[in-house]
Amino acid sequence: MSDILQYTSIDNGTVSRYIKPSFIRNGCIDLVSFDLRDRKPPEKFVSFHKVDDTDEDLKFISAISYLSFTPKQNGAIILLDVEETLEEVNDEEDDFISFREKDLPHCGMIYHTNDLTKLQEVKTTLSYLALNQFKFVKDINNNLVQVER
Amino acid sequence: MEIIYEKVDYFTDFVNHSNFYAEKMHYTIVEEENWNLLVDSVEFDFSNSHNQLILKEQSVIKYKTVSTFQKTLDDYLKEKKQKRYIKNISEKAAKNFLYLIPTIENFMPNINIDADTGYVNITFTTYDNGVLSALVTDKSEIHYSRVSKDKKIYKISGVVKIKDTRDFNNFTKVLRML
Repeated sequence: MSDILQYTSIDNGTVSRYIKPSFIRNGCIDLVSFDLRDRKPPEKFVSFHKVDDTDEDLKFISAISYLSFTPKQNGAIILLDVEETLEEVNDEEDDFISFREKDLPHCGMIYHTNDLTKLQEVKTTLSYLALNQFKFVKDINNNLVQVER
Repeated sequence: MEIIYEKVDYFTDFVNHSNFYAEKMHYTIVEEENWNLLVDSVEFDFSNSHNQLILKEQSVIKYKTVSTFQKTLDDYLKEKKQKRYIKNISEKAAKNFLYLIPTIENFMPNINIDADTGYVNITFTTYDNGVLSALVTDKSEIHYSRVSKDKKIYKISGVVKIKDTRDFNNFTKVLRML
């Protein structure tokens, strides 16, 4: 974990993440959306992208443009306000997560605990917060078409 | 008891040779009181993708969650073929999840395998648009957390510790928060 800690921390702004369709069901975002499952081990962070646009619709459009693959139409993009997320998740003496710059806009969220109950609470909080700023890819693309017109 | 054992034997065979036994569709639906005995007999083996089947026909087991769980296992094993580095499914956690099925059946949770641990993760939406999640581990522990908002965001988290598999139904006390 030590190598990624050398990277500059991100304390504010907005970060985005793609959620695949099978992780969105019954109106909620599965906690496994925040697992360390995307890259080869030892993966140390959950990938996000920092989006600097001020307009919310543009944030979603930028989030898609940063992806290195074509997202599925029934997948979704979530946006997290970094300051709010850190405040809501890190609500005890020791921090449970931090965001770090990787190669901007790419950035990573690091877990600082291995305690299963704490991790469950952290991921449940992330899932809850993500519901506030969440859009299906098809809706973002429709919006993009309207903007281009 | 003889009938129960017969069902257990049937279920065990069904797990191991599900295609062969799929023709026995007329078999009695397994009721809740016998469920623990059935699960006692289950042995998972995720090392071979042909052996992970629980069952294929819902008419044998009345719980729809079983077929949802089956799909979850299939999807994860497919993902693991591409991403060999993600954790193996914990066979003990999968079995512990089976004990929990009658308790959660009516709540239709999202079911997934936690890629960091190989345990079973379930997620529910609460009546006040919050999230309740639970991680079923290999140690008969269920780590749960409920996050919602009233004046501000509040959280209720903890761990359920089970010493006897027949006590998994006490998870209803956590589900009362839904």
